[in-house]
Amino acid sequence: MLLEVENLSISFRRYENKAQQILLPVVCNLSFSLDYGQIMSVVGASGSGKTILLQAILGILPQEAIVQGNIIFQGQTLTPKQQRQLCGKKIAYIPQSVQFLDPLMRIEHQVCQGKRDTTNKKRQEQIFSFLGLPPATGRLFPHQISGGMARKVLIACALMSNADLYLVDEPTPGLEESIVQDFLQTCRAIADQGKSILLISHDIGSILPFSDKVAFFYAGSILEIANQADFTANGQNLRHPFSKALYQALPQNNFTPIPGHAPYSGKLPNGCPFAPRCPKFDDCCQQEPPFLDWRNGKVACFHAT
Amino acid sequence: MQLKAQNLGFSYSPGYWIFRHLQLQIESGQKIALLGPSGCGKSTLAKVLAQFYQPQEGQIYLNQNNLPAKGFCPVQYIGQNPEKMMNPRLKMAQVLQEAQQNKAQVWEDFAIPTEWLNRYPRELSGGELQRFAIARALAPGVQFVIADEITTMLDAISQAQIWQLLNKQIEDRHLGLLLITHDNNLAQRVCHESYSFFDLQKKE
Ligand code: SF4
Repeated sequence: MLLEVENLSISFRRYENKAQQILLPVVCNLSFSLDYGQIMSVVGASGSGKTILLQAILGILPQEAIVQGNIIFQGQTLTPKQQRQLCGKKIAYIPQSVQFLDPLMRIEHQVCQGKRDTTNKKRQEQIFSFLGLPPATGRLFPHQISGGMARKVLIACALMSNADLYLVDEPTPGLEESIVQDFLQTCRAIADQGKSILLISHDIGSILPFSDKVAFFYAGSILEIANQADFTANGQNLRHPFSKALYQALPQNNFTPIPGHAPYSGKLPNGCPFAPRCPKFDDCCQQEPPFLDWRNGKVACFHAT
Repeated sequence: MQLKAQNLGFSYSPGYWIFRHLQLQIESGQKIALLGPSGCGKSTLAKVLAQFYQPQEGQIYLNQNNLPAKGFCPVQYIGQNPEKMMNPRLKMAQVLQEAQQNKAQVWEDFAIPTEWLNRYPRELSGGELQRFAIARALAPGVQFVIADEITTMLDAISQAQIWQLLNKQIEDRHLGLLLITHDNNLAQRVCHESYSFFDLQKKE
């Protein structure tokens, strides 16, 4: 296994009125694994804590975060210090925003991180041709290229590290369809070379064709990890009520929503986080949260099909 | 009612047209989708129609009359990022009050729980905020709604929820809709007809 996440919980310290300290859980007891050559997409509402998960793996969470659980990378349980060492080397991050590019630096310098020796130069040329970026792009500044190209430059920066794991944050919003397809195809090609990609997105329709596995994230928990083959017409083969509801709500499927809202962090129900909106809810769902026994192919639901 | 753009042209700097010779016509009760790549000028057109910007060329007519220059515009724009269109210091009840829309009927129409009214914009999610943006835009007097990628940032369930609510209002009140989107599937679900942005600019 390249990456294993075991019982990861993250909460944030907040101070309410009268300086009373409360803990807001954002990620609750999360476990999953990612193999070499795989793309796993984590889907769910934006703002549901998916980005926090990426930050936890990178070891760049804000100070007030409290983290429990293990992140095991290539067989080794990572300490914060090791995370800092791996970040940008073995684990690379592809951010959502092209604002991560320095507007005053030529693209070739950003991609090589200022070190344009012969090896780096050669590698940069290879990566550009792999990504379909014209060699002349290197001489340009970020404002001189289109949004789609800027995205590719962000990938180029990540690829220079020759990392084994790429963490990709929301690759779809604000980009036209063809660029999104292009970007995801590039991700696929990277994975097909034996690298692994963990991708988070709210746009299940776009990412699905490129993902080996899809993790359904809701209110801080992963409720189901589905294989690509489980996404048949209208999602009968998905097993968790939330996964089914999300997939069926797509315009290309039923386009029918379920009522209600995701719970706020700090106001999570005692039992199953999906209980207030679940059509299959009964008393036993209220007692304790269902456990995602993903190793045995089960989903986090007491009444899953 | 009819909203008609005749020979519309817009540019930020002289000689560089974002669009030109653009023709568009929407009737009450009609739902039209406008598709096109990002950055092609669709959003600019949306904002021109809703009178955020003045066109350099051409006219916009509402039933053969010009749009009112002051007061509530019967053509209302809803965008992708509702938080950018709201004063962060106002509670949600006040946000609705700005458009005289803080009423029980409105809360019900847009499935807004009363506990949200006491919150500030940053305390709500994108999908929740978008309901307020829509409720505010759909004040009495609105005739045409321009929905510019309003559910692009939302997950599928929130997207379907928003469209269920908005669609009901549009149909019950016999409004016209211009949906601007990159998502063909969504356009087919919501609208009667789809056009490409470039096709609107062909000279007759
Ligand atoms: S555990 Fe119960 S409430 Fe939760 S998803 Fe399953 S049936 Fe629904």
